[in-house]
Amino acid sequence: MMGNKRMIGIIYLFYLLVALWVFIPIYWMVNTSLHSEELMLSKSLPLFPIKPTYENFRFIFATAEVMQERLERGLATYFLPTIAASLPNAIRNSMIVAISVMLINSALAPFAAWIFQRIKFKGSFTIYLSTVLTRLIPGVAIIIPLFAIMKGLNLLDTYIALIIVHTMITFPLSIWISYNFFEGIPVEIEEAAFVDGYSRFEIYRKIIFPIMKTAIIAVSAFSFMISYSEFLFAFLLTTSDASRTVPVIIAAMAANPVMPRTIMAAAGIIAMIPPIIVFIILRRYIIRGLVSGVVVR
Amino acid sequence: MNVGRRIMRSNLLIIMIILAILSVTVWIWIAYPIAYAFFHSFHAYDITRPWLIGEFVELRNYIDVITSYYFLRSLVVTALFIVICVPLTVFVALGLALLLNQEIHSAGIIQVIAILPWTIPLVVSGTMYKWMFDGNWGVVNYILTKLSVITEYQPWLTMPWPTMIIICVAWIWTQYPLPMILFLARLKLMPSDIYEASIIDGAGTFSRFRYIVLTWLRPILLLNLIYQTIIALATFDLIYVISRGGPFDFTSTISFFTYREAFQFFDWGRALALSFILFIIGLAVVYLYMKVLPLVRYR
Repeated sequence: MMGNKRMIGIIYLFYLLVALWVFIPIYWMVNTSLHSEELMLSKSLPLFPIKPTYENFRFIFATAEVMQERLERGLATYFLPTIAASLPNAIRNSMIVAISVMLINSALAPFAAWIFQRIKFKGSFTIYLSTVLTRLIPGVAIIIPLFAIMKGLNLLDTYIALIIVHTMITFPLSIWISYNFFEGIPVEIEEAAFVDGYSRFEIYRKIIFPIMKTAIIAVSAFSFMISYSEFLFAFLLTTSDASRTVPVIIAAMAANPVMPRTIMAAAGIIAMIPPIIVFIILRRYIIRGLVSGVVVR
Repeated sequence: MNVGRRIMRSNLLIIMIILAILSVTVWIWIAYPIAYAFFHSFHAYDITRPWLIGEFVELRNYIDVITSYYFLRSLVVTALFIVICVPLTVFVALGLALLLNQEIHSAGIIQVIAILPWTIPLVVSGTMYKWMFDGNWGVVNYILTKLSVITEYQPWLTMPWPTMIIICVAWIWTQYPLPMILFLARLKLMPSDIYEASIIDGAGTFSRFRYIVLTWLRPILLLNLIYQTIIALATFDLIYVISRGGPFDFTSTISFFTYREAFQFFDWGRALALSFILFIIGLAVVYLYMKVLPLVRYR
């Protein structure tokens, strides 16, 4: 019992250290976002937001008003990135694209992986491997032809272009991830169920789907985040508010002559919220011990 | 695989549909751009000299790139970056996944907290690290001088090794959540009875980990190692944001030069040639992993 308690103590200590390591940069971001840009430009920031200002967040949601006020009060505006006004819209765009990519991936990839895992026909492994290895090409090598294709199809600056490209870069890995999840799940369960007279549909629903569910969660989380944070393709394929995503807007802010650090920190915090919500929803579906009672060889 | 085939025999239609979807989503969209890029890596494609664009130059782009001043140096930097970051990222992710898998109080909240670094756009987290280590206003300097570890503010990002270490810390911080989630999901899928049986059989904590948990995680371990290596090979954003490849190109990886060739020197022919060199390096690394860490076959 003693050993057990000490073990739990060590686990908690490790948790604490991890939480600290994760938190310090995030805390610093929050701290930065709660100070005014003038303070940031003049001296080193205080460690705690003693007199917090919410001006940075207000600037993102009511850019025109804040600019107007500052002009009336005769304050400097040269360091304020007016592109911040596009951020709420960019979050909407990002969510639409990322959720579509997530749905496509999680609907198709685990199923494709299951087929690759269970049915070996001539050349199936080659097809699987060549699908996966396409990811080794650096993005910069394929942006020119992709841009040309999208322009030819008249899809520039639309959600569809982004969804296609993001699906294309996440799909090989989604297959790969789900393929590895089926590794070690013995085909005997399926065989036994087949012998027991289950129909194919029942095998799928009662045996494959629970295993797949874990793979689906992993694939969803992965593809959502990749699409949500992807910058290079989003930057090249979007030109206006109709489809510009969060990383594009934030990078545009960073390109301001004077980098608006406090506003960027505030934008980062706002950009964090949708993925956190998605993760909280996804996390509820990870369930323990789906395949207990199965011999693994 | 006979039974598997029997199960799926009449589902040939579904297989065909899946393969068709695969071809549409992956091969058409990737095969053409890759073929295009491969074709143009043998042609002049220097935007600053438009009258030469399209001229067939055989292997000139490749030779230019390999004999350039940065090639060997950036290879060393890339290797260094990968050797430092990839094992650490996977190690941190594995440790965290094992801990977060414990069913103790408040594990759920900590699972969400552990994912937070992944949800911040890379531009923001990179900039955040840059400010924290800033030479004039950085909080790290402030705290270290207050704790009298250092006597005066240090310009960390003008020193080669500190810059490398800062980039690595930032990289691991932003990259560990994905491998962690994959490990965690795989752990959740683990048949609980083999684990319980090993406890009854009296296996120690370490041997239980070594023989049962690690064996179960092996496919995902391999996947994580390969994927982390691939994205470390292709890393660009973070290095660009934190150090711009400096000081003295000490943190300019080969992929960083790919982007520089494309967007700074505007010589796309060379950038494409470099991309294919990177592709071949990637293939070699994947092959090596497959050889060194044999793919576990359960069947």
